[in-house]
Amino acid sequence: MKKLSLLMFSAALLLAAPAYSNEMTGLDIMKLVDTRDDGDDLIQNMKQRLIDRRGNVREREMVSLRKDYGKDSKSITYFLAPSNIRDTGLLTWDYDGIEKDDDQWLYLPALKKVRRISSSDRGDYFMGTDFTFEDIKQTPELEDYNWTLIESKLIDGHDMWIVEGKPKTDELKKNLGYSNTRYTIRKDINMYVRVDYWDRKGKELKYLISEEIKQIDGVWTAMKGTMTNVQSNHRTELSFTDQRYNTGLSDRTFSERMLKRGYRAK
Amino acid sequence: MKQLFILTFALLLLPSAASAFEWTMHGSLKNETAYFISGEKRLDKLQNRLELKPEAILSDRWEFRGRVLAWHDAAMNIEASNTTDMTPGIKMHYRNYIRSKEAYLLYGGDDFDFRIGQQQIVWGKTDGLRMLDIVNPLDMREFMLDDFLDSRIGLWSARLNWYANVGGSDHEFEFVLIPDARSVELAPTASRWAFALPATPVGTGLSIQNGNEPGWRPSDIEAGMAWRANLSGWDLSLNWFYGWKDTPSMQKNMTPALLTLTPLYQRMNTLGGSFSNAFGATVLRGELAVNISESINKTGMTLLTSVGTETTVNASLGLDYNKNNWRISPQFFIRYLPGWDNTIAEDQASGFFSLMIATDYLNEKLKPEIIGLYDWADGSWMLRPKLSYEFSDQIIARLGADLFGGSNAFFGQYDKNDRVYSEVEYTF
Repeated sequence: MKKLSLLMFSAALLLAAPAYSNEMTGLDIMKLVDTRDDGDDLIQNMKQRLIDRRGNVREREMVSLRKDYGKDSKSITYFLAPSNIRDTGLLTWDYDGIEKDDDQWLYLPALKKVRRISSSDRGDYFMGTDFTFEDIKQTPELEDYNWTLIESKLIDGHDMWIVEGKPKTDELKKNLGYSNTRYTIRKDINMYVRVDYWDRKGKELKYLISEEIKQIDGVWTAMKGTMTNVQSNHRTELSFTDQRYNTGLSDRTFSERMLKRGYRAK
Repeated sequence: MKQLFILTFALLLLPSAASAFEWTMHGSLKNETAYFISGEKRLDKLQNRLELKPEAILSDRWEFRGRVLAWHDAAMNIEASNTTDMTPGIKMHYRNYIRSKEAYLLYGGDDFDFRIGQQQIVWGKTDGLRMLDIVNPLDMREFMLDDFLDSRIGLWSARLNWYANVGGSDHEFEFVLIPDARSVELAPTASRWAFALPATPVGTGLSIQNGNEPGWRPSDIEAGMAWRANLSGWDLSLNWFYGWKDTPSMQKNMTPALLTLTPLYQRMNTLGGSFSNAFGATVLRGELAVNISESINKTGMTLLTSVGTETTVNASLGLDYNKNNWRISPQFFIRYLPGWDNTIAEDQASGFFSLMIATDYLNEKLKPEIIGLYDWADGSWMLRPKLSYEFSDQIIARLGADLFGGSNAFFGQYDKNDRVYSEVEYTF
């Protein structure tokens, strides 16, 4: 009987072991998200639709370019339309980790000047959208959050991880504008499809849904993302087109020179 | 010389235009209405403006960019003429306006950009007041209330920006040549936005002569160079400009019956630099411009004793503090004359303090802003509150006021020119 019990226990352990050993920590999962293949560089067109609670729509068109430099990256975004913000450009040198603040420059055509701007207030909203400067990064600074795997479950036919990220300090909560975030991540492609945000007081603030995910040049890409602020009933829809990965963008693309020249499709 | 320059510009444009494949036209229609609420209360302006920005991609390397500004000011028809500030001459000056602001060809090379044509060349890091931003003179028909983009006078010029990687850092070298030397365009004498003229003794008349304005002459060419780089996180520049002081000094000649003023335009060298860097939520920026042999007014009343040249040191330090969608931006400016003596008609040290506070609501639809400038040497000030609302992607409305205070001096001379204004702009 004792032998039988031991055998059954061993069998149960063997069967159960793969499930536990595959289950990673929240931080491990977020590192997978952070390091997933998103191409060495990318150029894409973006359309922003800002929709207020009455259904009024403002539309903006942009082109965005990014290049990775190891764990760091540089990006430049040009506003193409509407006319009143045309040629406004944002250049970001995004440094990995929290030791060094990102460098950012904004070109304002009305002033004909490139302005250095502070990147430390990551909770500031970007150009009237529902995305903060923190949100428009591919992934947040992992070191700033305590990550916890909440559960694994099947959603819409995909195995998902639900990972919670809480800013480590009150100062970070204040700076980011969030007390909690929750990422819903597809296990097969290490990509989040939904992010929920709670404000500093712990009230539900907004959520992001990534849709129309497909592979382009071998890179899994969301063609649409909608951030809905449940407190203001304002939402921002981003749609992406004409993605081109790994085209070998030149270093000079990400410079003050190009910010001043503006983007002209040729 | 002007014809030669413009002909070269046209020849560069024509062959490329033949193979042009994409022209675009953007611009705006705008109504600007302002009403004086102090002094004699009346319409200041009722302008209907058209701005056109034609552009063309001429080839892989060549582009054309232009900007034309035109308006009709109906206030000059509505308001009655008088013999003081609304004479027929003054009305004619303000009624209609059409100017090319920019019209240049851009050649984008691998390591350089070359621009030739009518350009606005903007240097420096300060807002609202100009220290290194001295390449283009201003049209001061509305004192300094117009946006610099509208008030800068485009100059026909050639500009080469060359980019090089030196020691692992990117450096930019800029070379500017301006055959189209020009001076500031002041508001007409006696108009509401004219600079105050010196007081004359009772019984003494005042006569203003034409000055020796710089123009399209080989001897009047202006030139400049700049270096820019980002080193250890600092955005740095060094600048040199050899040109004409935009605003003339006033040469005086006093006889018992008549004070004659003659604008005197003189060359000067400007050497300077700028810096900016971000520290947390704050951006620190500054500028230095040393004007060598700057033309200045003196207290004498003869041709020889009423003007002189001095080295002046002009510096500014500014902060941009951003937090929770608020932007607070104080700036401090100082002008210092190391060789000052009591024959010079300005203080040894003078300057300004400015403060800008701005924020936004409703996802940047509603933007309140206030800018204040205080002349700490003589106590005069200017306050500019503004509220803008974006009705749609194309339509923006603004309400604001321009308020002045102090006794005479830089801002105080417009103490009777407080105004409120509205703007409605349609962009396309």
